Amino acid sequence: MESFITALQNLASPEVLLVIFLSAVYGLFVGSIPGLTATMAVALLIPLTFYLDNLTAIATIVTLEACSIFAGDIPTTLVRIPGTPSSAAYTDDAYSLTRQGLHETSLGVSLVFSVAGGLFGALILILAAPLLAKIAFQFTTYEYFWLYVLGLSCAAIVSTGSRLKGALALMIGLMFSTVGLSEVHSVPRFTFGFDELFTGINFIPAMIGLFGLSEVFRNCLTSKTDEVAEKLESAHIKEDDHSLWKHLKPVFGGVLPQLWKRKFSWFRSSCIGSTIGMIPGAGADIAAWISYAVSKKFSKTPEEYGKGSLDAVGDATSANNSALAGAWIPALVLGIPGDSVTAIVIGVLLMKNITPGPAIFENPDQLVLVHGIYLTFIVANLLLIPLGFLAIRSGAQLVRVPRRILMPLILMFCVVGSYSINGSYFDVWVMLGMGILGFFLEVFAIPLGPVVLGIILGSQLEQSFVQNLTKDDSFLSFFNRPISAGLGIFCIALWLYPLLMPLLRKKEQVAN
Amino acid sequence: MNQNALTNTTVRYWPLLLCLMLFSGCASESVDDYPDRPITIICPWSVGGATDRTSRQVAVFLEQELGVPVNVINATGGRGVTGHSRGLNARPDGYTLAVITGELNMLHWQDLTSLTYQDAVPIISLVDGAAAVFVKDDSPFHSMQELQDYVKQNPGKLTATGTASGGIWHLALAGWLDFSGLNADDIKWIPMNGAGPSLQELASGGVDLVCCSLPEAKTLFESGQVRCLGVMTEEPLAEFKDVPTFKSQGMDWSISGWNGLALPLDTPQPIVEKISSAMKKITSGEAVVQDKTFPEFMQAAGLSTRYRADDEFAGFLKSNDQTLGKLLTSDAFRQMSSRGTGPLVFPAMLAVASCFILVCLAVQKKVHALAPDVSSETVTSQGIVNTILVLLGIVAYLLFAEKLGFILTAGAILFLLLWKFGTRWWMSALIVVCFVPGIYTLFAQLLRVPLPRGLLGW
Repeated sequence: MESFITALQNLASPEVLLVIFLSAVYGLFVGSIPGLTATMAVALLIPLTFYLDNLTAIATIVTLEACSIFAGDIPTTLVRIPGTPSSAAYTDDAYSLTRQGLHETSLGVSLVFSVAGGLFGALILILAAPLLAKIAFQFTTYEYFWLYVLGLSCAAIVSTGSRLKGALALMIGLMFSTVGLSEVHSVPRFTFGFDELFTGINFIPAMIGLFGLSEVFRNCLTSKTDEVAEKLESAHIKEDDHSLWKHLKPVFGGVLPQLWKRKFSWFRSSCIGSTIGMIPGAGADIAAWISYAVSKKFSKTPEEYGKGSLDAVGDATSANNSALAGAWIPALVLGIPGDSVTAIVIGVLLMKNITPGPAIFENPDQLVLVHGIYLTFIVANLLLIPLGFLAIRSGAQLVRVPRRILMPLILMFCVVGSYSINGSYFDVWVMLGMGILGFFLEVFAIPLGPVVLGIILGSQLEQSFVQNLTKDDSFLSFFNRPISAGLGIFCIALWLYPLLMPLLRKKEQVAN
Repeated sequence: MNQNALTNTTVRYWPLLLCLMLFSGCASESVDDYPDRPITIICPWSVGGATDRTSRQVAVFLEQELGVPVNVINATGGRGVTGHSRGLNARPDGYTLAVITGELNMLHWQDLTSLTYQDAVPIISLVDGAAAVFVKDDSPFHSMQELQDYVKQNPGKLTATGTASGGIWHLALAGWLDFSGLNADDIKWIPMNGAGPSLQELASGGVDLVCCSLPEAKTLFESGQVRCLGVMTEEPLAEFKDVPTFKSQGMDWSISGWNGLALPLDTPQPIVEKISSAMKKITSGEAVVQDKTFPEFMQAAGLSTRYRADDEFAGFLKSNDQTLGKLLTSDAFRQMSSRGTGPLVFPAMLAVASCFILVCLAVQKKVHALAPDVSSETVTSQGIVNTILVLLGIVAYLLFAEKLGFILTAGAILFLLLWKFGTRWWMSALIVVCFVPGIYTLFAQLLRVPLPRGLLGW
């Protein structure tokens, strides 16, 4: 308790609060630029942490991470370029809402549910970190295999239109993930002589191409390029009142009732996010997809999903934000990175002479730091509300820009964003190829989200598959451990359900 | 009138712009002025690992010594091929430094790249992490001898991990098996993405052993979740003095993972000397950042260091390459790499699944249905032209950006696209003049993300 008060006092100093504020602004700024990721932003910030004391350095990273994940929703909604892989789950919903003129409502839902999810994740971290870390310790390559299968299956199942097309999109993504030199094989595959392909296909330029560039193509090909902007312009003129409520209403009006109405689904999504987030290696991506699938399953209006459902946006953003705090559980308790951001944090802690591990919760000096991290999560998420609102209002101006001007600018950001990840021209070629592919996939009504998830998780799926076979040749070993057996049976049931359901219905008809 | 005024303004400033460009171009080629713009360090491994942390600490100190920003880029993947290729094949102008690691002396023996240490100008070696063997706390093994005895009686029963197949830690364990008169595959190596995931696999009971460096396992080791059977050093490590060495257990076998700083071949000698001088100052402890020296930072991070500069580093590279080559070309290792699930098994499974799905779709006759969003909109000839212009714009950027630089290439392409899309030419010019330098400043200056630099240095 004494260390908690000390942490509170340290955090309350104007200097630390100023640093947290600047980190929040920086996180929103970087996160909203396609191609720049939370990991990249944190990595760019590392040199600065040399000059900060322990608590301030960690607080900076926590704040930046929380804000940049939400910021990724801004380009997702406004220009259909997912800012983070987890946004890919609800890109179609968010962008469809923009085309209906509801972009500020959509972003408002993203903001409020992100904060709610983030606070929930922080609460779990505060209350149960050491206990939950033991559960994370039960995961071997067998459990990971089924977790990846579950995440990928959810992506196929929730696809708009035919599930078969969702599964086909998934296969396309998985195929791309086999390019290059994986960790479990000694020879590169499908590199065709390009050294750059040894890395495999980077999912960020692929994502920018599939969603962003294909949207540019679609807009160029059609003649109604300025229809949306003109509608919004006329709507804007009618509401030229400058009172504060007129600014707050588009973003927050209707959102708080939405949060209250959907409190149970919010709670469910946040639990999913925290649970998956605390498993090292699984992250916001899987959390968002599974939460989206569960949300659609229990929704009263499932037909809206993929075509502009606020429920989908709210639930998925709750999950991916609550997963962030979850990733800190194995990092703090075990020194094992929960995700790429906490991998950096562990390095920073070690440089500051702090060794993560159970001892960190017993040493009074280090416990101050732990409580500081807890408090920073809360402060960062609360700070996100006003700053996120300002970011939404600023970003919303984009929708009024005529398409003939906006499209070339989007194109430039697609190119620069793809290049900036690794400073590689090859990534721009990948973005171009994926843009063309994405356009044609959409012509055939094949969803794009599963392709992205397939690229992201495919190599991990294959690795765990090969690792398991290397340990034991028998397929029965996939079910030897209790958690992997449970997950495995659940996944198989998930696959067989759509196949068996028609048969059962036929039997009922015959009986009648 | 406004339009004419704008035209006159543009014409008036053009000669000035031209002079500035030429002057800037001259400045960027001068060796004496090195460095006059941000430097990039290419790290071949992912963020958070030992090599990444080393790279970022070097960047902070170099930035102070050289007076320009120093960024770290993680060019990961391909078991080190990507990063080493990017670093050593970069333009040899001193603005790209390469962090090289032991994998540089392994990959070419495994036919994964044509790069060798001879493609690098060595500056200084930094981390030298000896291999160590870990078991879970409830494991029955308490020494390397016990482990050796068990493996002799039960070949192929135990599993181990620590890195990818054929990686440095794999070599360390397999070499020890060979040293002990056992086969390299008497312990099954489960390839994983590095020490972090490997240690978790060990702690969760997924494997029996992990071979990696001690600093990587520091947290779990100090909390008692894993135990270290031995470390391959001459003397016990200062930071882990309770850990016995292999040598003290009668096994004189050792191998270590290392990293160091290098420059691409053909970098001008004055630049090499300038960087080498700065690094000597940094590693000797003369340079101080936040009241701490570089060696102190490394010790705090638990990273064992071994500083070898210039020719000494070059000599080490040569002998290390020979040692690793001897191992990797031996019968045991060549045979080892061909075992296990083949690389085409998984793609074949995917192909079969894809065919099955396509057959199902064909049965449902839905393959050729058009999406409503597209069919409800009219494709125009102007739209087709615009789309082709977008494609050509991207290709043009790819072809010319490296030579001309970001500002000129992006500016020209953006202007043409805006103009062709129906924006008035003066509005197009205004947008280009505002946005392109703005984006360059945003990415290259504020965010320190490198953008293409052409002949003008932009």
